[in-house]
Formats: sequence, structure tokens, C-alpha cells
Amino acid sequence: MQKYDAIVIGAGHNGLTAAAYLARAGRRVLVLERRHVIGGAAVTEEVFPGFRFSVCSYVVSLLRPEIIRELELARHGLEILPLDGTFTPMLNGDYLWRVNDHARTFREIARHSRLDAEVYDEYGRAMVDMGRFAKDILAMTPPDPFSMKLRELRALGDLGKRFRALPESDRANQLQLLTMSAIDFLDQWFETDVLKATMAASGIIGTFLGVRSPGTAYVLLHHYMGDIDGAFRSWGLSKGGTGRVSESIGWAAHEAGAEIKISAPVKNILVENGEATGVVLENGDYYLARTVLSSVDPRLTFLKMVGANRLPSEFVEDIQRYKFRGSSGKVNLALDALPDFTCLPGRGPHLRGAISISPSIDYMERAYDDAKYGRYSREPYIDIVIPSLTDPSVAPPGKHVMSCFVQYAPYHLRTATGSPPPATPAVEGNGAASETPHPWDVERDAFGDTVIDAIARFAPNIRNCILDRQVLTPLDLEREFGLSEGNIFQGELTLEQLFFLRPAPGWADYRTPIKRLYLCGSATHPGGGIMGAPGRNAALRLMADVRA
Amino acid sequence: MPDVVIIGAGLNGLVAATWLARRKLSVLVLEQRPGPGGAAVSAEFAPGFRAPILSHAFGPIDHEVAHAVRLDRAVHFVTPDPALTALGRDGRAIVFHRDPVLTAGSINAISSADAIRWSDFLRTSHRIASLVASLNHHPPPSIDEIDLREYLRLLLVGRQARKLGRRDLARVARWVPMAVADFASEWFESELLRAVVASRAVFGNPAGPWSAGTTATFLQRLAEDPLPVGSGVTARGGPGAVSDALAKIATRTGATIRTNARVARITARDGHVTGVVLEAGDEIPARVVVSAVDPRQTFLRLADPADLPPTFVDRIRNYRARGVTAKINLALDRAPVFKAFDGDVVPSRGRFVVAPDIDYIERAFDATKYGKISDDPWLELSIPSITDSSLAPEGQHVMSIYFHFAPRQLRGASWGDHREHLYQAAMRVLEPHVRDLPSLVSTCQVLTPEDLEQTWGLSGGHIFHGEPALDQSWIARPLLGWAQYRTPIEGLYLAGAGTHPGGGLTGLPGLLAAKTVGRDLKKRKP
Repeated sequence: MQKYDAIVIGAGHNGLTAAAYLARAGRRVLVLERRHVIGGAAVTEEVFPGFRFSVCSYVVSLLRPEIIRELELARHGLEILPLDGTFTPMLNGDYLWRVNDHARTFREIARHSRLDAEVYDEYGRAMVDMGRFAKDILAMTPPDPFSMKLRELRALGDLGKRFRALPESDRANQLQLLTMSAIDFLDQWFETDVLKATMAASGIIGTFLGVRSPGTAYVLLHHYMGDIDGAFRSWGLSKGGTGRVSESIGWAAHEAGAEIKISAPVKNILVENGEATGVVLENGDYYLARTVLSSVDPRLTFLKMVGANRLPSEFVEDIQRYKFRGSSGKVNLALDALPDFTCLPGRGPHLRGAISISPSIDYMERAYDDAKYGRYSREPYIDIVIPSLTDPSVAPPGKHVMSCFVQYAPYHLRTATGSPPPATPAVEGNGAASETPHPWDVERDAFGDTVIDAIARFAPNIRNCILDRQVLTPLDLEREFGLSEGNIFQGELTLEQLFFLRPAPGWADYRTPIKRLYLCGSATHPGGGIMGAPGRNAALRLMADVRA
Repeated sequence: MPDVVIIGAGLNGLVAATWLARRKLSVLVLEQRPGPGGAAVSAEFAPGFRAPILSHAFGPIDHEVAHAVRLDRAVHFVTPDPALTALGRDGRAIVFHRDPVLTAGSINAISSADAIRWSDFLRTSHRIASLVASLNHHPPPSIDEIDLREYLRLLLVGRQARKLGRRDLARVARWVPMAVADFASEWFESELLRAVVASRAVFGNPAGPWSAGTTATFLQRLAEDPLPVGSGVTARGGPGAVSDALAKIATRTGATIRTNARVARITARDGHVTGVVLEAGDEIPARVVVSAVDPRQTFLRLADPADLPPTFVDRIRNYRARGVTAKINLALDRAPVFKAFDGDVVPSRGRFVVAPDIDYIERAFDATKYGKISDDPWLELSIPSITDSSLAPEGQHVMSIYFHFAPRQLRGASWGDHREHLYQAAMRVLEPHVRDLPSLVSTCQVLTPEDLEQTWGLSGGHIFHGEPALDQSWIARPLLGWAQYRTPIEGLYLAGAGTHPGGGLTGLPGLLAAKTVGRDLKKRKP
């Protein structure tokens, strides 16, 4: 039986990125994907005949430019189309519509507040400066300060030095961004409620936090990091759907010689004498390799595929504590006609960008309050895009696909009796049907209706345009895409789970307590979003550790 | 001309005054209120009833502070036992004794798993508290120019951190940014126990148990007092007795205290402080001015913005101090009877926390986000007359209640109309716990966050001179780059709870500020 240099578990964008880097370095690589299609959560599927959806992840934001360059993704079919502007309908019948056109955005914000319009640019510049500092951190392997080893502390010290070299106001901003709530941070700059609500929305995506929760300011930066990369537009829609991103990386890996097998679910990782030696599939097939990289989350990797009994107990404790708490759902709509917003009727260019249902700070915060007590938001925050307006290839002529990212939809719904559902077992119970249905199986349609209602409040015609709808609850994300508790980032992006703490203290360098087993998914630094950085960082780490 | 003028005769102002006066500096303390004490005052609020008007417990006062100002011999501190009783639903309660074995026994009645974890929790708390405490006893390091002294101190802290070991260090790193709800759930399964831990972290602050960073506040409280629920140290005669004793010590040491002397302005010339002007018009020149009032008051009301860099003023404007605490003092005809201990006289010592679960506190906090008073507030109360009979006529009692959450800024309403509302809400919450409480009340005093701001000069009514959020703590208290008690105006210092290590009646900010002033003056003299 042939032995691979590396087996990658999961053909999501991170797994494929790691595979591509390894294959290009001449290693024999096998990628194993559980589903019938590659891409993981960055996938395009024809859910209804003729309608192609970016089923989960729907915008490309932070795909690392070095990955696009080094893997020549443009040659492999990646094309990012601009997603211009954010349109926010308001409860009072007005709206806020920001676009990339500077003068127009100025006029638009000035309509709400002259002061805000003036400070908007200054804010943008400050954020770009901040982003520059944060950007380099994305590409580095986190040091391990807990080891108290000089080398590790020095790496941390270097960061400290770079922090000290920042101008005074940047330092304060940086500290605030890391720790403050998005709203508290924005309060320092702006007065317009709807502007703050919409900007803050980016801080809560995929987290179990509200716009007023400390720790949400940091993600505000992400929107500005794209600007720095400049040369390549990194904020937009992938032509042909988000799946094209994974496919292009897949082609790069394939061209370099990597094998990719679909419908090949991994059951176990083979471990001998504390060293990973291969994997066994659900069907009993097994493959041997010198190294194994897992791009699935740590709960599945360690508690299901490796087994707690093969791991140090402290590490197992850390992994059990690692928080997922999915908070979002997705509703994909096949439309006969475009939604018509009462506040700005017609099929204007405002439909081509993001449409944000975030009319006020209170609206956002109340949506979170519902989730805190175990129910989905009665009036959810929704981030809508209609990719078919920019890329007509994804829908039949004259028809449209509409992607609605919805928050909050807590994975742990409290049942009618008021008690929280029984704690989910650490490992998904594959096929073991329990007698009582999961609360989400009961609530799925009602949840879908709630989302439609929330949109219909601003665009009443939406109800009449829907040909078909797909409702993905956090439970569906877990079942279908292997995302534990439906967390789209493979674990919460909160400070205690970032950088040298992701996924566990002492194991943030892509290595694991099992020799020759590496993590390369979003559960490692720098976390989720279609960045590819975890995959690349992990591959580089592995190649430095294990010579070809 | 006094060497040093200190604004505010609260705990920190008095500690600074005493320390500096002992170094042969002439010190003048100016206090706007009729007496010293700031938030640590006792007064007769009804004939024959004396209450701890604001704080009913100390941090406690730090050992080093007590020793430095010789307070330990002048005051009889009382450490109540039990320290705290948590009142839950359906008559459930946990009693926190000084003796951990007794506490574990009490927890055992609710959860045996938690009772077993309690001793581990205590040990871990102590270890980690000692590390934070070592940071509390020194000014935060400068980020720009670390001098040899600071460098050596950091090395010592590093050594201490190293001694904690890998596991504990990782724990601290994880815990600091965490929500206290998560922290408490990592340890305990019982909601009541979780809620008590959480309540200590959100006390006084516009934060709920689910707010990130609240575990850091809890660790900070641990550093002041390693008993996880707080010891609730007070003094015979109430907190006012401590302030009075401290004022006496300050005076005896040579400092002068002028009450009813509200400062209107801090004056400066060429970037150097020149003195203060009182509202009455008196101009008082001084070489050094130490402001023990909060940063917003100091820079936005007292200092002339023209003397400050504009960005500094902007940053102080953004310094967050949103008060959420109200205070209710009751005069009671008879001793209150807690239903959980029906017929049993103990335990009515120490404090009581009424917060049955994490969600309860979180919901109470939710209201503040929308500018509303909590419908179901969580309360911390004490009955100081149980241990100190001098506070009330014989057989009668005083109850002191902290009310959370009551936001300083009400939406579409003013505080004047809501005094009664606070009282009624507190009574409603206590109804299931205390037998016939309303019928015992002969007098009640309600202090709203507006009162705290207007009468006590606490900006935003925030009892800790500013929120202890991560971006407003340690090297960033009150601002990153200005955490060493000095200010952009040379000769003007901060010494209040708005500086490291923050509020909670420890006296440490006052001591650390005074030391900084002393060192700077020594450098300047020759």
C-alpha cells in the first residue's frame, strides 16, 4: 500500500490550501472529504434546479493575498466581483446607503449627520492604520508564552516592541479595538444610530455576542484590511459562488499532484506510540501517511477521531471547554422577482451590494437578548446579498438567488418547558436517532418564517417572490457541514480563544499532543472566515518540522 | 503656600495626604462636603439610626496602606462571619463562612459536586490573586521608557508568574478576557453559586455576567480580598468611623482638611500647575495638586482645557463612567427574619446577595442597555446593626441595600420621578426572602445614581470613578500612556479610584499616587 507524505482531513478552503502548499513542495498528499463535493462551508451548490447558491459562506473578505498569488488562484478560475455598498432600511421609512463612491457616501451620511459624514474618512484612515498592525499577526504562528521559554517570550516581546512603536493614539485605539464593544468604540466617533448599528453588525457575525458586548470591536478592522492589500480586491463576491474559491484552490492542489477524494468520511485517525500514522474511513478503508492534517474542528478531531484516551487529560479538558455555541443560520431563497424596499422602491443599484437588516442599535441588541435566553431572535439581524445581480450565471434568466445570513439562531434552544436541552454529547451521535426530536427540527420552518417576516417588514413583496427556500439552522450546519454546534468559525472568536489560546493554550502552533498530527482549520490562529491563513500557516509549520 | 493641595477627602485623598504630610510636606485637603470620607461615610439618616450611607464594606483596606498611615491601630475593623449569604429561589441559600469547611457544607446542601470543587476553587483563587496583587502594589509600568526600577520589578513579577507554572498562567490568560458567566460555569454547576461569583464581578459596573472581560474584574476583586465572595470588612461605627479616624491621623500628621470647600478650577501656567481656585473665590497656590476626584471631573470640569493637549481631552471625554448603582438605607422597627433561616437567629451577619441565577443578573443588566431600571434587580444588602448595636436604637435595625441595575441616564424619564420605583422594586425582590419587610420599615433613604453624581461628585454616578473595562485598567487606567498618576499638566496628579488599581475602597490608588508625588518632588528639590 502506498504511503502518503500527508493526509488532509476535510476539503474545505483551509484543508485544500494546506494540501496545495504541501503538494507544491513536492509532497505526496491525499485530501479526504466527507461530503460529495469539495469546499466545506465555502461551497456552491445547485439547491434548486437552475439556482446555484453559496450555501454557507457568501462573501469573500480576507482571503490572504499571498495565497491568491502563490497558488495562482486567478489562473485556476478565481474571480472576485465587487460587492458595492451596504444598504440599511430603517424603521422610520428612511434608509442609509453607503457605497464605495466617496462623495456619494459623504452626502448620504451627511443626510443623517453632518458631523458623522466629516469624521467618516478620518475613521477609515485610523482603521487602515490599525489594520496594518493587525495584518502581520494573521500570518504569524502564535508564540507560546506559557512555556516561559526565552525564544517564545522574545517573539511576544517583539510584538510588544511593534506595539510601542505605534503612535500614541494608535496604541489606545488598538487596545480599545481588542477589548471594547463595537458600539462603545463607534460611540466615540459617530452619533447616527443606524450607521453605528450597521457598522457594528460586522463585529457580531458568527459570534455569540451582541453589538454592546465587549470584544466585538475587533472585527470592525476586518473591513479595512482588504483595502491595504490593494493590488487585489479582496472584498466581494466570488464569481460562480463561493465554491469557486475552494475549487480554484482545489485545482491548484490537483495541478501540484495532490489527490482529492470525495465521499470519503474519516472515522479515526490512526495513532501508534503517540504518533499519527494514517486514517481509517467510515467504510473501513484506511490510508497510511507520515503526517496527518485535520482541517475539521478540534472537538471532532480529538474527541471523535483520535479519542480522549490517547490524549493528555489536561488537553482533553481544554478541548472540551473550547466554546462553539453556533449563533447563526442561513436562509437561501430562489426568487421570481427582486425584493422591493418601501423606503427605496425599484430595482436600483442598492440591491447589488449588501442589504443589512440592522435598523437600530436597540434592534440588534434585542436580537441578541433573545439568543442569550435560548431562543432565536424574533426580529433577527439579517445580512442579505443577491449575487445573481452581479453574476447572472447563478440563476435562470430573470430569476434570482438571495442569500440571507441570519443572527441570532442559538444552537442550544431552550425547550418550551424553559429548561435548557440536555448538554450535547462531546461527539456527534452519528445516526443514533433519539426519541425526542431536536428542538431545531421542530422550529426550522418557524425560524424560516421569522426571517421572511423580518425582511417583509421592509420589502413586503418578498413573500410573493419566493419560489423555493432552504433554511439552514445551526443544527443543519453541524449535521451537513460537520461544524460542531453550527459555529461557522469552528469555535467562537472571542479573546480567550484567539492567538496563542486558539484552540488551546500551548497548542496554538498547529501542532497537537499527537506527533505528526496537525490542525489546519479555522479553529487555529487566525481563525474563521475565508482567509486560508490557517491552512497556509499549518503547512509551513509542518514542512519546517518534517523534512521531505 | 502649601506644598500639596489634595482635592477630595475620600479614602484615597486622605491616604495620600497622610503619606505626604508624614514626609514633612505641607498638605491641604479640600473637601466639598461637610465632612471627610467621600463614599465611606456614616450618618444619621433617621433619628437614632446611623447607616453606611454609600459603601457598607471596604475592599478591604490594603495592608500596606493601613500600615503606611498607621490606620491598623486606630480603627477596630470587623470581619463578619459568615461573610455572605446567597439567597436563591424556593428558600435555598448558601452561607459563606470564614471556615471553608463550613462553607463547603452549606454548598453541599445544593450541590455535592460544587462542595467538592470549592476547596480547589479557593486554592486556585489564592494563587492567582497573589499574582494580581503583586501588580496592584506598584504603579503600572510605562510603555515607553522602562527605567531600571520598573524593569527589576517586572522581572520579579515575571519570576512570580513563572512560579505559578504553565497551567495557571494559561488559566489567567484565558480568564482575563472571559465573561464571568463562563468562568463561573467552568467551576460550578449550581446556578446560585455561579450567580454569587458573577455578582461580585459586575457590582457597580454596566456589565452583565455575559459581558466579556468581567472575569478580569473578578480577579481584581480577588487580589484585594482572596475570599471569592468578598469578606465584607467593615469597622465598628461603620465606614464613617474609618474615614473619621483617618482624617484625625492626617490632621495629627500635619495635614489640614478644609470641608465645605468646593474647588472650582485647577490653575496652571506654562504647562505647570499653580494651584486651585475655590467656588467661594479663594485662590490657593500650590506646588503640587493631587486630584482624588475622578478623571472626568478633574479634566473636564476642574482643569482648563487650554492647558491640556486636545487629543487628551478627547480621550478623557471617551473615558467611560456609566453608573448603574443605587443605594437604599432602611430604618427597621425590628430585626428582619429571613425565611430561609426561619426561627434561626443566625445568620444575619455579613452581607446577603439576592441573585438566584446568572440569567437573573443578566436580565437585570439588559434593562440598562435600554435606559431602564431593572424590573427585577439583584441586591446586595447588609444589616450592620446586628454586629454594631450603636447604629440603631435597641431592638431596632439598619438595613443597607445596593440596587443593581439603575442606569444614570434614564431614557425619556428623569430620576426625580423614580425614587419610589426603586424602593418598590427592592421590596418586591425581598418579599420572598424577608418576612413582612415593608411593615418593619420606619424610614427609608433612596440614593439614585443622580444623587451619587450630584451630591458625591461621582461622574456619571459611577461608584468606581470609571468602569474597570480591560481598556480602562492597569496600564490604561484612566488612559493608556497616563496610568502613572501623572497628567499632561506638570505638578497635577491623579490619586482616586480612576487610577490603578481602581475602585473598591482599598486606599491603594492614594498610596501609589502619593509615592509618585514624593519621588517627583525629591527629584525636583535639589
